[in-house]
Amino acid sequence: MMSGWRYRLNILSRILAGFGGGYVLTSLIVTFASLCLPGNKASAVLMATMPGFLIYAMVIMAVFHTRNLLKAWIWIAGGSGSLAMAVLLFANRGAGG
Amino acid sequence: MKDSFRQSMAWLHRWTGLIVGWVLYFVFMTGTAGYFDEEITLWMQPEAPPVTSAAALPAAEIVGRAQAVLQVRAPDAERWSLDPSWDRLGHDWYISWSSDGQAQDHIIIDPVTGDQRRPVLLRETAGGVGLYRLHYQLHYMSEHSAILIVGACTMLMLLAILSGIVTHKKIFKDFFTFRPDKGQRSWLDMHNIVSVTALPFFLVMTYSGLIFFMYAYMPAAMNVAYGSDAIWPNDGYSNPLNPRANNSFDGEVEPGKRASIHARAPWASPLTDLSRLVRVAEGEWGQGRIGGISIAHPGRSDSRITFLFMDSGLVYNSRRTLVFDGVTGRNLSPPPFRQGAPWLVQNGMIALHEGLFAGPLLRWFYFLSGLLGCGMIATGLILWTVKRRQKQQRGDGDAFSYRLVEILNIGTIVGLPLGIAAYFLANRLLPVGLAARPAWEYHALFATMGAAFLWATVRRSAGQAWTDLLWIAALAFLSLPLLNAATTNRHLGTSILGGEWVLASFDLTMFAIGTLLGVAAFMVKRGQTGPDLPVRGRRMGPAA
Repeated sequence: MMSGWRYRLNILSRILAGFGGGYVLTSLIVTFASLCLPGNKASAVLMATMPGFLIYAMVIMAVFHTRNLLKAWIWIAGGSGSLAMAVLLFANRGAGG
Repeated sequence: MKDSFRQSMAWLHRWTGLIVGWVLYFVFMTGTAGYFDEEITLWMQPEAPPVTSAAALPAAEIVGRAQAVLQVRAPDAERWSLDPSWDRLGHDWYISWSSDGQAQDHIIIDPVTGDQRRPVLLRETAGGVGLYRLHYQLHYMSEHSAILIVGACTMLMLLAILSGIVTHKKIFKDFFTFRPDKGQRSWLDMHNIVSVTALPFFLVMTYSGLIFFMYAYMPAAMNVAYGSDAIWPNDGYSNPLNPRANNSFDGEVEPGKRASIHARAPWASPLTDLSRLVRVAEGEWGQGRIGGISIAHPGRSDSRITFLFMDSGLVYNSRRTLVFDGVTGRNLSPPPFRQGAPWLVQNGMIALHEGLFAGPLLRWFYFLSGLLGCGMIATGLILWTVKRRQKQQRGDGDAFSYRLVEILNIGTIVGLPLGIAAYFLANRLLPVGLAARPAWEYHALFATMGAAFLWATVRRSAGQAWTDLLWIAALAFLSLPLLNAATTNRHLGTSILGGEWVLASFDLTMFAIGTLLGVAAFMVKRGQTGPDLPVRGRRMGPAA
């Protein structure tokens, strides 16, 4: 059991990873999904965004549960990074075509 | 961080619940009142004509009379509009006419007699809608900031609900467990019972609340698809993620362009019989589903008549408008369109949130479920202090945080209902001609709540502050029907005899709420299930 400032830092790190990092990750998941989904643009955007809050909640819960906080940070940063690249590629292809 | 999944989720449940509990209690209670917004407004405007249960005339008859009036009073107007009220309580028809886009005049037709209604001067009030608006606009701040604050709290509420569910290993066993008079355990049991009873309701309300303002909370996909600097003509209502804009972004079928206007200049040509078209529309939609009739260029050869479907949420219709030729009455309606699945899901959730479709019985269920939500939040908040009380009394633990939570609990849990009673009292006590009267009704609500916070702060014993304020709130609610009788002639004596059940229900509900608050005060006083009563002989001041 951690105590004192180490515990507080741990909580702060989880809040940043869960609420901040989780929001970025969720936004990117939703955006990526909206680019992959069939149907017209409006339909895809709506369908992808609606489950967003559930995804966000699950990411936060995972971050607050995990024992290995560093791994959680790596997952969030890595996931966000690769999704951001995919979204950029998709968006550019869309603009080009 | 903690050893087991359940423990870490319990931690998350405790803290997310605590941080947003007070705002959410406010949101839940004002939103719950909103299910009876029209009923409350009726009580707050006692000058309004009585709501009769007498059967209204057929729409065709009313429209026929309106057409006769309009042909005399506004034969040259560019547009006539015949709009039945979309309210639950009143079904007046608002008949208006305009030229060059400027409204000219209007009359109101009483649907029961079919005659013109003489205008009644109603007192200004924020009304039931004013209470309902508080649940997402809050007050004393811009709507946008309010939406963001409420949204952040709602997201934490979703987390609190989800983590609360997984915290319970035996959700059904817990549900049937109540150990009264056992202090902390009784509060825990109560919290479980209340929360599990209406769990689906809480989940749907929370999630659909987030869906409402999705464009503000999670705009990433929308911004990538449409550009983050896209400017929507009516920001907040016309973007692709807003439920109100559903039709305009359902790209599968574009609403057909209006039939091309005659190349020749239009000539005078008498308008077709509107009441016949009303029967056609009722054949398509059913009775009472016409939401408005608009007549462009009445009395001209290029006249067009458009019927609008009265949407009440769950009733879905693939034909939202019917268009007729104004001279021949020929049906020119666009083909029905199928709404895509995502929009149906979104509309369904919004409809469940708003409950516009609910009849009286279902509306009471909504109201009671909302009150259970307030109970869930209140018992959760109280549980936080009860759990830490013994530690406080031993002298360890953070006295400042404990005291802060205690004051916020008292000031919100009792202070808000007391404030709402003050909102109603102000409606009767403020001079009828007072300028900015609605604003003063709000001031009464928040000043009273502020006073409750102050009282909880200066009273050294939290238990005393609970009982004081519960008694005051009980008296305030009990006094409402009496004050109503003293200041108007629409009191219980006349409303029950006259069959005005909406008004009678309001007064009786106030009596019931007052009685419940009195019982709560009595129970806290008795000290057995009291939330924060100190152990005998020991005071719990700020320095405890």
